[in-house]
Amino acid sequence: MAKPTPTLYSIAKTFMWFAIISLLLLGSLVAIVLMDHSREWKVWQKKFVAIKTERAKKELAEAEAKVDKKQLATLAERLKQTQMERKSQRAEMAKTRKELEALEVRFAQAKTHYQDQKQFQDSYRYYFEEYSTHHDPRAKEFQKKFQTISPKVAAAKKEQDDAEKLRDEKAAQLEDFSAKEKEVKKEIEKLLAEKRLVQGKLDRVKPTLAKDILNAPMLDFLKPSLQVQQIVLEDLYDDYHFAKTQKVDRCTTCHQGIDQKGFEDMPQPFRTHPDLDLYLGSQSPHPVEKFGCTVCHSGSGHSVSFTDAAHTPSGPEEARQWKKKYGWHDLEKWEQKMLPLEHAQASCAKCHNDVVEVPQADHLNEGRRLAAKFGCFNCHKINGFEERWKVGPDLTHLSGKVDEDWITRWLHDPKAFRPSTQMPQIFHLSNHQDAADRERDNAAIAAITAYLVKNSEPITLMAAPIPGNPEEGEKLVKSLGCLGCHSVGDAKGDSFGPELSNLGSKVGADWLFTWIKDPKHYSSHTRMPNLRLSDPEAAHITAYLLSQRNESFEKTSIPEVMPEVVDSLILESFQGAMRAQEARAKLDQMNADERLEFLGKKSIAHQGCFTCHAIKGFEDQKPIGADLSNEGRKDIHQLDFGFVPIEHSREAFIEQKLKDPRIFDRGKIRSYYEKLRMPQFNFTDAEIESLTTFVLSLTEEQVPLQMRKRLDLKEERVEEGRLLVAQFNCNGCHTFDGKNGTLRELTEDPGAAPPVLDGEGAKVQEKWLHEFLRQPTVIRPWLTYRMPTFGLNEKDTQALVEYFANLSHEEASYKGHPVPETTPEKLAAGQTIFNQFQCVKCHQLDASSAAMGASFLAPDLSLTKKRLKPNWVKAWIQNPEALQAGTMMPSFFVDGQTPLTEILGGDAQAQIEAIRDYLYHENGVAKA
Amino acid sequence: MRPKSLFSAALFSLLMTFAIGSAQAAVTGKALFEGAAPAAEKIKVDADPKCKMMHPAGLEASSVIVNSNGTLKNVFVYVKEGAQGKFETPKESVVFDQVGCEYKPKVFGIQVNQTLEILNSDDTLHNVHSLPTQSQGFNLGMPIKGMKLKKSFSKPEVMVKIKCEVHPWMAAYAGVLDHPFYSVTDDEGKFEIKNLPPGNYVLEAWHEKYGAQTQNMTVAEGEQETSFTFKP
Amino acid sequence: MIDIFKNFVNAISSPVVIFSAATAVFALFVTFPRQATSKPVSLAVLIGALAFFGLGLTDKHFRSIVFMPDNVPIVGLIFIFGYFTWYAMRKAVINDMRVERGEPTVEQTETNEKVLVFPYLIFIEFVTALAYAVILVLWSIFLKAPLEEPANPTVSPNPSKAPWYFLGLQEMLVYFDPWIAGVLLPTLIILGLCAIPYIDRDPSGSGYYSFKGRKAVIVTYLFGFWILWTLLVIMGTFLRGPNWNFFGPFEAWDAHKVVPLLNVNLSELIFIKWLGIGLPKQWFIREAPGILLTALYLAVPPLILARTKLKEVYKKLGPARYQIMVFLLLMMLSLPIKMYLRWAFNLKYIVAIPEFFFNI
Repeated sequence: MAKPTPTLYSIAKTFMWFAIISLLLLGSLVAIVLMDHSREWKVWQKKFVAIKTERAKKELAEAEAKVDKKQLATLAERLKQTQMERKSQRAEMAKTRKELEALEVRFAQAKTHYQDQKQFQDSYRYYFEEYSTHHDPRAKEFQKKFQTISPKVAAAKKEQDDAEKLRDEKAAQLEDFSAKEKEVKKEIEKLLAEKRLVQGKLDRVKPTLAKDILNAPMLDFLKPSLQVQQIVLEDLYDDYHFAKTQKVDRCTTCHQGIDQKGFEDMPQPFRTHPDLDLYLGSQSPHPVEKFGCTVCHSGSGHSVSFTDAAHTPSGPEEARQWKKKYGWHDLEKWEQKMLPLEHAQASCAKCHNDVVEVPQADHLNEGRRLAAKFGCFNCHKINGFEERWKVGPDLTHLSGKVDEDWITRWLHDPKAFRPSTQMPQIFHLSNHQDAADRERDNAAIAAITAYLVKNSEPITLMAAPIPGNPEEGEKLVKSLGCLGCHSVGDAKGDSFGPELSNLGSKVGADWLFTWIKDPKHYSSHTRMPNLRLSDPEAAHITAYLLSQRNESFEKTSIPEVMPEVVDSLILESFQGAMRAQEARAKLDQMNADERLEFLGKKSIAHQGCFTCHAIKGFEDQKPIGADLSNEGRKDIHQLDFGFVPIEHSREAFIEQKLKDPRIFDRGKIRSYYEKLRMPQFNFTDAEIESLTTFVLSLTEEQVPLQMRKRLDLKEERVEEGRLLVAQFNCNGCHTFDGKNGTLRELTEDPGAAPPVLDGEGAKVQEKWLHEFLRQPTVIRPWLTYRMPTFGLNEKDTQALVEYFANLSHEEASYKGHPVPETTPEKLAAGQTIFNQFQCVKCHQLDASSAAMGASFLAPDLSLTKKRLKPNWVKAWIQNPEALQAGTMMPSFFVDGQTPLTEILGGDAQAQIEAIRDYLYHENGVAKA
Repeated sequence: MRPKSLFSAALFSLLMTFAIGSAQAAVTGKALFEGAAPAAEKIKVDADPKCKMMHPAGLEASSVIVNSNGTLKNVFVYVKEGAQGKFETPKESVVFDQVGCEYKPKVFGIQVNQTLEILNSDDTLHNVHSLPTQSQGFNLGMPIKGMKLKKSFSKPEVMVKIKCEVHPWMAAYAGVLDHPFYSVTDDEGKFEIKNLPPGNYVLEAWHEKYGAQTQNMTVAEGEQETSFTFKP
Repeated sequence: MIDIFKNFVNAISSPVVIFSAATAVFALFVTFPRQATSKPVSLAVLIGALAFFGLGLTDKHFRSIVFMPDNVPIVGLIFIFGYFTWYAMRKAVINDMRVERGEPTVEQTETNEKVLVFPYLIFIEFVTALAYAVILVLWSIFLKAPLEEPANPTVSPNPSKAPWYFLGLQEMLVYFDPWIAGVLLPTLIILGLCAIPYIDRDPSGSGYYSFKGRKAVIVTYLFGFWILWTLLVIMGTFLRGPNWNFFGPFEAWDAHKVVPLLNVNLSELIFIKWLGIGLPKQWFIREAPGILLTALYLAVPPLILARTKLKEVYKKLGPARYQIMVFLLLMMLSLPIKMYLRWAFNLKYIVAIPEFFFNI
């Protein structure tokens, strides 16, 4: 017996372990396959397939219902009949078929025979030609062969053709037997066509076993029905820190219905995108194949999971829901998260550059408008917005306008004087609340006041020659058109210019009189135009505006300023630049007044007052605010959230900054001059939202030129004009270019309101418009509103003329429009028609007609020659409503017919031209 | 007229009334006015010499006309809700005239796409400027006496104002409906809506100055009477 | 309760405390190996470590660091290294006890028994390999490699950490000049490890677990491996945060933390602080004390030790090998010495010659 092998440990136990671990390994392999295979997006695609199947089933049921059952039954009957007929002819069919077979055989034989013969013929011919060329004696032999075989070949061909013909005839005969049946079948198909179509759709869409197999792991490289959908965008790039890659948007993997009509009421992610005519549709300006999704919505386009695509919840509530339902978490490491839906318009600016307003981007446009209004562009450098005007009034002659105390009180709290002011609160904000900082703020205010007063250049003022009557003044203010820019007391007008209440507490009578007589005398760059007021008018308005005072503001106490505080602030400002002893020395050289003025200059430089206001000594200073040109893509880590417990996202930062700019200093220890400086504007929540959209739109992302909306020359002119219109508030009075005039809306009687300027470029001559803008003249004397003189420079005036011309798709030309050629006969006819139509009933100017009320008067026709374009006048007479909807000018040529059938042969066009010529010709209405 | 034809005409119309009336219903009534009739304003028409010739003493404002029997004229009564089915556009036109520097009729009803025949019977420039909000408006200059123009309204609207840009006192109102169930109160303040199928309806009475009033009615066969009362 | 414990741990956490405590524990381990590897002590240590971990996992900062997929292996490393060190020591202690009693060692008794390679070696290796495969597969499924933000060439990650196997060197960089810590010392480590077989030719204690017979070399090696390498790796992984500041295990990693630390060179200490005169202009005069000190450190101890403590070693190895061994030993000990000099005196460099970029 062999010695038993020694054992170290029990093998049986090891087998057991082996078995267990093998099973675990198998399990882990299955786990690998499953985890790789079960992807989030497949779930969504399956859901969408279910939805589409449902719909197709419904459509099928509808199509089924639509089928005319009776008709179908009749046709089925007929079909059966034809089939029976065919069956009864079975014998004949069989015979015919047999004959056809025989003919097929014959044809095949003939064909082979012919081909056979032909090749011999060709061969003989070749040899014959070869040999005869080389004078070989064998040529003769082949010639004979060739000649013998040629007729045989011809015969064979004939036989083949005949056989073919017979065969085809026989085949047609066979066809005939089933012809009728085929026809009936076709009619049945027609009846069921739609149903078949829908059935086909259903079959394609619905999940089947074959599809499930093809979607199985390992097999799904062949032809899966569930697959990742992607749009590769050749011309758009993702910018990953200087590495540019083509955008690949895989959003449509889950958002399967986004570009199809019909899913508007589905829950996300299947919902159709709003407004398919503007976005995503193949005919829209932003087709999905060329733009994808992330260029507008941001986010990680190439991810296919919900969290990794960087979806942004609309608020903490939705964030909670997402966490629960989808295991969502904030993607900290991804810089460009999806823009919240309310800020999606921020992406428009990437491609729509150099326009004043992006069409249909109302949030963005509102944000831009607010940014311009509150002077954001003055303090912050933003690429593309550097050339904007200063929004604050000119302070170079300030002591001629207001007294020192007023300035100090104003700086302490502007809203105490004028709650609707654009001027933000600069001092005593949330990071200057402790006693020491309050004192310093008081010192800074006093210092600024001292500086402004000391550096105010003298200005000559006029006094009103007569005492003004406040009631007269009130009437004038409400009727001259001041409300087109200002609100005054209880009269609500536009909020473009400052509200003119309580001016009695602010300015002196001489200053106000001088100002409204000629604003540019006091402030050369002011946007306020000249209303060409007469002295009495100006005196009355002055008296009215000064009649209101703000008593509580006047009584506000002015806090005392300690000289030590002034000194310490000056020394603190020297800290970085020189050593303490030198600073002290410099300070000791100045007396008290000099110190205050010095501190004032320092404070103005520190707070950036000069960015919005023109101040002497600060003409060339640069803006002090942060450069916001790339704020929309700024690194989150570069935003100083400080200790404020808000979400670390750009939107949250911007919103918080606009709500309380100084809050990020909370909890920090900083010296006075190191603290945050942005003033508090007290924006409403809606304003903050629009402004956030605007700030998020500021990026330096370079979209390739071919994908951007490039403006052609005409559009550029229009945008230049739009900027001027925004700068000077033309829409305060006039309705045009998609905006309603404030004053026009406020005036009940449209005839008494400022005219609508739509179509002005097609209407008036450029030369006239140019002159008019430089020096307005009266066109409609019954209007109380007065078009002011804006005093624009030549470049701006021309820009406006071109703007109007290009808005009406016309070329601006200063050449002038020649008087149209005409005949004496036409002129005479024109005069007759003019009298018959009684044009002067409305187009007249004497006193008696004034009693009819403003709406029944129309412009003086003697202006026509210089002012209106002849083509326009012709179109106008033909159909005024088409050129100016709602106009009071009636149509005399209704439906192209004239009521005067005897003149010029009743030809409406000729009559219109006649009237027009009469208006222009020097023997007519036009006075040379 | 000869008695024989008169009798047959009367018999015929009686039969017709029965024939039609037996299957349909009609709503008649009055628009009453409570209170004292306001004094009519005088309007000067000096601006247009032709109008001045016709009315040397001026015109009376016609926005409120109270009849002698205490009823209100020019109240537009119509079926606001309940009219069902499609109604043919009548082939006849509604005549709208400008005579004596006034619009005649001042208040009228017209069906959608029915022709409005506009006449100018005065020897001066008149203007018909309609101001609908639902359909396309028109602004017609009519300088020639006797000229005629045809227009229509494409959508129902109650009421469309019509004014003249040359003569500010002229104003008319058109009630555009897609059914023929309307009526305007006359000199006796009476209105009559004929050929109404039985059913539930909401009737509205509209006046230029005193607003609109509604009434729910269940209309059975035969004639029904109702009334609206307006107060100043 | 837990918070008090956590705050306490955070408060006492600092490099010097941890290093000293670890050294103390190590000293106990090698002085009392039998007690250290006895059942009750071993169990207590294991349970204590697990309890600390379990407690720590309740803290979110601890969790976020420990569960980072990169750091999970290092956690494993602590337990695995610890286990194998304990296992070896246990075996050694057992052998030593048997030798004391005059019995043959475990290996000797085992040598007489022979079994077949297959199945006793192969099979169990195979099953273990399968088990590893399962662990790796499950690990790869549940601990995914992290995908962070797109690389930004203008922003360096904070903290910038080397891979774990170099974290020991990165920690040394705190105390040494980059030339020394990054080039000189690693070279010496490698050369030293290569040189071990040539220095230590003593066959005693080879082939079986033993501690008594090879106490000196085992202690030296374990000190270098555990305290001067593994401990620094663990510190670098878990306790060094942004800006290479030290953070306690339950502290949040704050990139804005500012810890005052001003280190001075020896020359500045001597000439400015003690003598009160300015730094000499010439570098050799300025660094003379430091250079002298270093020279003395490398020259004197070998001579003294050869005559006293290491007399037998000197005899056994001979002058050349002895010199090399002592040199390597001194270089190894220079690390903890420098560390303590830094902690005690805020000493930056013993020899600082910025003119040649040479500092010790």
